[in-house]
Amino acid sequence: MRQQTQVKTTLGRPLGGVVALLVTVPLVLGGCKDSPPVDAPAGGDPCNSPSSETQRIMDGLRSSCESCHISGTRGFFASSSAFQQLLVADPRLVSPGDPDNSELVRLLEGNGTGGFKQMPTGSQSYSQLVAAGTVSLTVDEVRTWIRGLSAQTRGTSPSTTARRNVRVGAAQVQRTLYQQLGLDYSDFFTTGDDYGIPVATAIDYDSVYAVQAPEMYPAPFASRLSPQDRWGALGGGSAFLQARSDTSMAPSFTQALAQISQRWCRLALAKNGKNNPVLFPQGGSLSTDATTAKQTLKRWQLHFLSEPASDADIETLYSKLFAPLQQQAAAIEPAYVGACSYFIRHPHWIFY
Amino acid sequence: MNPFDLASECRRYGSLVVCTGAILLWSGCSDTPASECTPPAPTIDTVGATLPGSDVLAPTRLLRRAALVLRGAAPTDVELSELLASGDSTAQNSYVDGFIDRTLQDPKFYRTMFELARDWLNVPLIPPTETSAEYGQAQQRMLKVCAGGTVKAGSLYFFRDLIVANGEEDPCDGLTNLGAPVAEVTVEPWWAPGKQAKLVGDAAKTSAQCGSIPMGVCGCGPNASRCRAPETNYPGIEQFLQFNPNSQRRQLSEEPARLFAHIAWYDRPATDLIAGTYSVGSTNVQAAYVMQGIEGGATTLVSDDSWWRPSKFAGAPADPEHPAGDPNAWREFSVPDRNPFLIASRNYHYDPRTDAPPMQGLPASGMLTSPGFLSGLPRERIRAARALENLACEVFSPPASNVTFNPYVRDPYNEGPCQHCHKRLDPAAIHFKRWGKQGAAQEGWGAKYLMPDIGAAGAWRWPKVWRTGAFPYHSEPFSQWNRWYLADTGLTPISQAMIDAKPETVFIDFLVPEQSLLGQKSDGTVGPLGFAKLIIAAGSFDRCVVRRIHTAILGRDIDPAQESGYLDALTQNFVSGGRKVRPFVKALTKTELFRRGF
Repeated sequence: MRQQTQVKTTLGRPLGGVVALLVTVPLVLGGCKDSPPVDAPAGGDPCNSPSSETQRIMDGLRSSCESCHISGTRGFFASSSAFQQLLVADPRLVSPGDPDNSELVRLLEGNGTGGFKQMPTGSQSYSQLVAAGTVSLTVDEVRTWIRGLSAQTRGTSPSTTARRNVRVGAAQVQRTLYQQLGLDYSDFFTTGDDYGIPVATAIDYDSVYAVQAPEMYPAPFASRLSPQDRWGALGGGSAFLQARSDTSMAPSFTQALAQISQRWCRLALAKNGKNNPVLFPQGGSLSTDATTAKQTLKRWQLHFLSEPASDADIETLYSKLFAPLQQQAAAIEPAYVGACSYFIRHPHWIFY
Repeated sequence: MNPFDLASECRRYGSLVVCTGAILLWSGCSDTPASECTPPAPTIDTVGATLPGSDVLAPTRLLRRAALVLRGAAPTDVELSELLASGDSTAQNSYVDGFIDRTLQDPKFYRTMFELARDWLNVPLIPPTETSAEYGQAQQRMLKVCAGGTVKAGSLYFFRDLIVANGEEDPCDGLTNLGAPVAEVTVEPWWAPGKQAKLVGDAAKTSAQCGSIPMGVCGCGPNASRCRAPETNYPGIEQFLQFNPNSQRRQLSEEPARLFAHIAWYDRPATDLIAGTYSVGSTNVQAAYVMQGIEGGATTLVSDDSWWRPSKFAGAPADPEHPAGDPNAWREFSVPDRNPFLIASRNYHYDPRTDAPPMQGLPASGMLTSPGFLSGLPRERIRAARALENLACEVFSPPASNVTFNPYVRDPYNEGPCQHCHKRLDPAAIHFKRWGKQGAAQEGWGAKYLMPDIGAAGAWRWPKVWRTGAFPYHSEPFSQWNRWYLADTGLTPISQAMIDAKPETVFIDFLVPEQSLLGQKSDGTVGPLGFAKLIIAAGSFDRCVVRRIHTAILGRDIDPAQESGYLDALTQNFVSGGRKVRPFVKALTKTELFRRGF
């Protein structure tokens, strides 16, 4: 069977690039036996879309199966595509043309060969559910459908709609900020001891907004766990606490990063007599000279975001952010703190 | 040009002509009769080659992604400068490729793999069963230092030097309670190779015969291997505290993740994580294996110095964060060498219904037979649940509300709503039966980790009375075994008559022919290795490892319900590459998916 589908393929912009080229290329797709109907979703993978008859079978089984099989490795009813990929195209469950050798049929008939003898589980067999009118699709209809199936294949492409960026994790936040702001452990902690084991005590009652995981060494002192709490707020996991890491954009992350970025930038700008060589490698920090400030902003964009900035970008940043902050505070430091924080709160810093 | 190469070039140049050609070639359909038009099996570098969108990462942003993913921090200014100075976009992308190659060889990549596995495997600390610092696994008596001003100042003696007949005595005064001089010996202790330590009192008894009798009057043995020197004023606490990076309790919980990092670093097959005969550990970690072996009756281990003498282990493959010969290096060791009751055989069968005891041991099985895993997860079903979730990516969720189950009576495998999960859980849990903690420890000793029916010495075999629950078999783990190891259940699929005749048959730890796990039948291999074989054969382990690595490198999990073909294609690539993590990570960084985003 020959299927022609219009697939939009976007070609990458030239590197360092400017404009993305969108080219529509007609692709001849095939090989998906029992191929999808012509009304397959635009842009979808035809190999993963069920035929209309398969869709009817899925709909017929849904009421008795969906509640347990909605997600995960046996999430057959998560979508039509999932039904096609996970069940129809899995020869361990459906043997095209051969219902007697299909585990799906065996399970519906109470003759399963795996851990389960019967599906659905429970006290009533599928046939009894049909007899009771709870479901209407009969096993014979399932058998007929399988008998009519040809060999199945599955598409091998990743989802085209899944996210392609990820939020920085807690460890990445800490390590990257230490590196990019020229800060280190000693800027946040003094080292005490607990039973003779070194422990990290946040300086100045944690006014520095320290971050430290329970697994780090030295670990946060048990009587002052705010650095550990902040680690958790950033989504850091801990095997000790049996907490998994989390890279979602949770409000706790946003709030923690907003505070950390501002406080840590201020710390960094004050470091080394306000001449932190990591932020100002050529010296001359906190300059009020507009040209020098713009040069710093331009350098910082690459430094923080790994992204060269155009002069226009910097002009906008200076006029919309830096200069107003300077004017509002009637001081230069808030302008630099604000600009530094801006980069750390920038989506291109938070995501990669 | 190979179409896959062409597609790769397309990504680099963004040329309309080249890209269009590449994509047509990739489709496998350009000049092919429709009847033969089949999507080609993708190589890993073509995965996602037809992704829609214009979000190709600029080289500087690609460098940032690679740096964050592989070593946990953004690129440095020097690296960014080098990239920008390298030339045009082709040269810049080559710079990123070189950066990836270098970083994969950097010790920071080992750290990344360790942190990935620690979060993924999520092995808890061994819980205390008494007041802390009791966690039991040490199985070594704590020593104290005789205070200055005493006759034996600086010498070491048992923290609680109990001699029942004569009451507690203080050997530091040089005399026993009967007025005789206390025993005294100088040894080279395992915790300080090349140095000398003076032991006094009962600790000074060094007969190897004492090896299997750690409590009471028996001494520390040669090289004081049955004892531990104190590092703090509260002897033993330093081994309990998780914030001590060198504490045994912490290191035992880290061992599985360290093993994964080791496997990645040395390009070993990932299946070694659950089916290998080796593990990695510091001297402190290996001590736990050795003490368990001694407890089982392998008394020759008392004088074995291969686990603590640097000259014996300096050549072993170790983590890149410690120098060779460092006692805290995570170095590779043969598990059966440390604990001979974790055996080397890969196909050991023992059917308690027909085979006469003793059982030789459990086949060593990577992290699945590590003390941290077995003791951190204190019962068989908990071990099974975590192993299925973490190593087979199984998900346990409650049954639907509209399903009516048969009534629950005694077997969660077959009855009630429990079977919804226990149908998978119990065929896994059956492999994790032969490890249970008995008692509570004091200052390192006192708790035992029973491995039922194993070992010719009979340390872990009991008279039938243990089934009655009568003292001293009234508590854990006997009460657990008596309550849950019931005849004709999924966890114990044997008859009551058989149990009556041979109580130890309840420890059957392989699947009978009527049972299966993830669609797989057991080959009869006992213990955790039997479980490992089943999830490997089912493909679940490989798919799960691929998903975890994908999540770490690409930033998202693969949805098995929506992308099963993609998952299988990647898994096929992973398996055909020998299940080696580092090459697979590198391959993922070459995919189009890795190079998309902002």
